Order: sequence, then C-alpha cells, then structure tokens
Amino acid sequence: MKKLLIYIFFAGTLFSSCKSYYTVNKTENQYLKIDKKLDSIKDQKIESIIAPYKTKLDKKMNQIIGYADYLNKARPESTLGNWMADAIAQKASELSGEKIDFAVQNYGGLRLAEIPAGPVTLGKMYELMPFQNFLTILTVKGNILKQFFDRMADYGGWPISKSVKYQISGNKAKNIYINGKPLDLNATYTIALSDYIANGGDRCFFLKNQKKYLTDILIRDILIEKVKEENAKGHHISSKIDGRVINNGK
Amino acid sequence: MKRRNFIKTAGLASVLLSTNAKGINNILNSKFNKLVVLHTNDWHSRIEPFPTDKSRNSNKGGAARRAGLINKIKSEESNVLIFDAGDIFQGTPYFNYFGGELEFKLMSAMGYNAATMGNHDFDGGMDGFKKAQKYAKFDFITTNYDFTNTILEGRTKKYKIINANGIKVGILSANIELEGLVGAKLYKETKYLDPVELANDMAYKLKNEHKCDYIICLSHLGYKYSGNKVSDITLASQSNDIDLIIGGHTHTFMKKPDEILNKNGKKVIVTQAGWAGILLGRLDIYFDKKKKFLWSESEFV
Repeated sequence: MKKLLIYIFFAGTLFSSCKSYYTVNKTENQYLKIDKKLDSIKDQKIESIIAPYKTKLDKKMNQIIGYADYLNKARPESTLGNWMADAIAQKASELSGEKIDFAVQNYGGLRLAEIPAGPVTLGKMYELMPFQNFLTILTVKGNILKQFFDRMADYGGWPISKSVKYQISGNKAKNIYINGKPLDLNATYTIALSDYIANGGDRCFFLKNQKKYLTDILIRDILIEKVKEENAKGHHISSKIDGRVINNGK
Repeated sequence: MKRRNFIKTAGLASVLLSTNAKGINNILNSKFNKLVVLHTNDWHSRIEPFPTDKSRNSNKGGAARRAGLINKIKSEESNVLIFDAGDIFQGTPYFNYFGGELEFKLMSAMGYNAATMGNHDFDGGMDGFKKAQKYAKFDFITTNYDFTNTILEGRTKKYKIINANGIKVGILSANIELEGLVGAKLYKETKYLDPVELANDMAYKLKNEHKCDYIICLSHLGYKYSGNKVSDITLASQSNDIDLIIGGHTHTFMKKPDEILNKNGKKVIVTQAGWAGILLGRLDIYFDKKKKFLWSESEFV
C-alpha cells in the first residue's frame, strides 16, 4: 500500500513536470459599444493626457476664417458640392498655370452634410475634408472621360465645377458638355481632382494609368484658402444650383 | 462529519465573499484557462467622441470611454490582451497637428499589447511614423512589409509571442499593398510582400517551432472584396495555422465574426470592430489545458 502511494506520488511529479499546452474549447464574441453610457467610468488619466492637446487644438480650430451662406450636400448636385468643385477648379488653374477644363470631387470625400450660415471655423474645414487628399492634375482623353462620367452617374452624381453640364440616365451619363461643347471622345482634357480618385479610388481604376501631375497641395488647404480669400473681399462663401448635373432617372 | 461539511461550505463561502469578481472568475474558469482578446481597428485619430449632432455617429466613440471600459474588463478578468489592426492615424485635426503622438500615448496608457500598420499610418511619411513611435510602448507587427534600407528598419517586428499566464499566444500581421493607396513619397522603399505566403510561413513557425497555443493575425487587408483583391476571407481560407484574424481597413461592422474553414478544414475566426473606436471588439476564448508526455503522443486533460 505504501509502495503504491509512492508510485502515485512519483507519477504525479512526472505529470506536473511534463509539457502542458492549450486547445480552444469555445469562443464567445461581443462588440461592445463605446458611447455615453460609459461616461461614468471614463478614464481620468486618459482625459488628463488629452487635455493639453485639446486646449491647443481648440484654440486653433475655433479660429474664424470667414463666413458662409447655408451650403448643403446632396446628389446629383448641391450647393456645397458646387462651391467645393469651383474652388478646386479655380485654385488648380491658379497654381498650375494651366487651363483646367473642370474639377471634380468624389461625393464620399465630403464629410459634412451641411455648412450652416454664419462664421466658418478652421475646424469646420477639417470636418468637411479630414483626409490628406492632394490636388492632382490629370491629362486624359475624352473616351476615358466618358467612362469617368458614367462612373459618376452610377454614383448618382459627384460635385463638379461649373464648366460642365451633363445628365444622368439610369446609371449612364449623357449629353455631356464641357465649356459649352459636347464631350469629344478623341480630344485631350485637363482635369483637377484628388490623388485618391486619380489613383483609381472609388472604382475609377481607368484613371490609374493616365498622365498625372501630383501636387503637394492639400484639397483642404485649397478650401481654407478660398474661405479666407472671400472673407478678405468681404464676401460670404456661397453657391447655387445651376443645372450642372440633372438626374433623369431611368 | 456534519461539522466538517459545515466548515468546508463556510470556508468556500468566505473565499467567494472575500474575493472580487476577478477572483470568482478565476475560480470558475480554472484560473488562467481563459483568454480575453480586446481589439480595435481604424480608429482614425478619433480621440474625442464624434460631435453631438444629427449624424449617424453622433457622440459615439472616445478614447477616455474606451479606456474606462478596458479598465472595467481588466478588473473582472485576469488574462486580457489588447490589439489594434491599423489605421490609427488620420481623420481628425489631432493627427494633422500632432502627428500621431497623442494616439500612441493613449494606446500605451490603455495597455495595448501590439498593433499593426494600416495604409493611413504612412500618412505622416516614414519619418512622421518614426517620430510618433517614440510615444508607443507597444510593438508594431508588420510581417509582410520589408523596411530594409528605410528609417523604419528594425523598428517593427515580424512577430511577437505573448505568454498569457501559460497560454502562448503568437501574433503576426497581414498588411495591405501600398501602391495606389498611399503616395509613393510617403512609403518610400517599403516593400509589400505577399501577405498570404508570409502570414502562413510565420504562423507555421509560431505553431511548430515556438509551440504557440493560439495564433492571432492582425490584418489590414480588409474584410472581403468582390474582385480578386486579397482579403481576410481569402487569407483565412488559404491559411493553415491561424486561429483568429482581427481585421481592419474596410470599416466593417459585423453582427458576429465569420467562421471560415482553412486549408485543413479547421475554423478560423474573422472579426472586425467597425471603425473610429465606436466599438471595442471582445473575444472570450476558453481553453482546455492538456499535458503531453515526452515519450508518447497520448494526452490527458
């Protein structure tokens, strides 16, 4: 009996010294919401790390850089979209010294639904355009542009500058006019847009291998500049719907 | 006899009463046989909650709330690991003005164990990342980026092993192709290598050479695509040894994680927690502890 106990003890020692490993028995999942219900348990240390950064940033972001009339975002055409596309077209030709046929901005890149009438802060421009998108000048043939217009039509219309007029029919673009002339499939055009789209973003892969000039000017900085410029002239930023893009439905 | 039973019961009760939730959980889950994995992705510099307005994400997210929730979970659980699947940078002026140092400081204070790099983590350039990284007290895993001859060479790891109270957890990553997604000036000579091949090789090494019990892949490939573009779903189905893919890039909100069969017909969990710190993903993984004899393949629980 005593011997048996010794054996058991010996075996036990062996077991405990041999290698252990783990296999998964089951897995449970949750996606926990981070919202105001957690305000009571907010981490004070984290808040104190943020505080000095927030103070500095708020001071910068609350700076009033100009004034706006009410602008909103919508498809196929909107006041906010028109204002932006026109600003990009103007600055692109000023900065590049080239004649820009038109400027375009992807709808998804506008991150505010509206700009209320009144003072415009620097922070508002960051909210409108949080991404580091760089102004890109693209030289492209009319037949490629036709694909681009069809893609815009498929998205329900993107903000485009005032030199363009076209209609959406189903998911295609038709009656496309640039500077008052119908789109010439064989002609070469110069357009201004973000590097994101020029590099084939938002399914615009047909633009990817076109001749492009990538600037280091942020689209956001163009917008900030435009607000300041209007303000210096005593103007509000404003825009109107002028029938650039009309959706005829199916 | 009766008296002995009473003492036993009273003893157990007093143990239960005197320990906190963490202690009770330890007893119920045979102490360390459970791993709690918390994860975020694409938090895009969302330091403060979204502004309170009429938009969909009004007043959601916020680093201080997330940290509070992590504190609470850590007070209840013994074996907690925290990961991020990339795109920490870009999305609020905090990044534009401070270059990401605040994001890294906060993640360090929250106790993140590791993160991988997303495409937007290159937005400040290689030097921008290097500058901010001074404030990160956690490792960056970039299994299929080759940083040779760049300033990030040696600053990230190909893999990491965490011994979570006995459970050996291997961490690797799957990183997205930068060309066309990030300006070439920003990522310079960084080489993108085949994520499926490198993740599989690394997972094999972690499982067989390092004897990891559980393999986690931090991925910034994206959940899934309609074309041929490599995604978390592609990776999962072509993998051998990965147990869990914590994804990012596509900002996907899932009702529950996907379970994808790998090459061996074994389930791989694919998960992603939306974006902007709106969610904190939580997986509670229960393990069976087994022992292996050196002289035989038999096991007992």
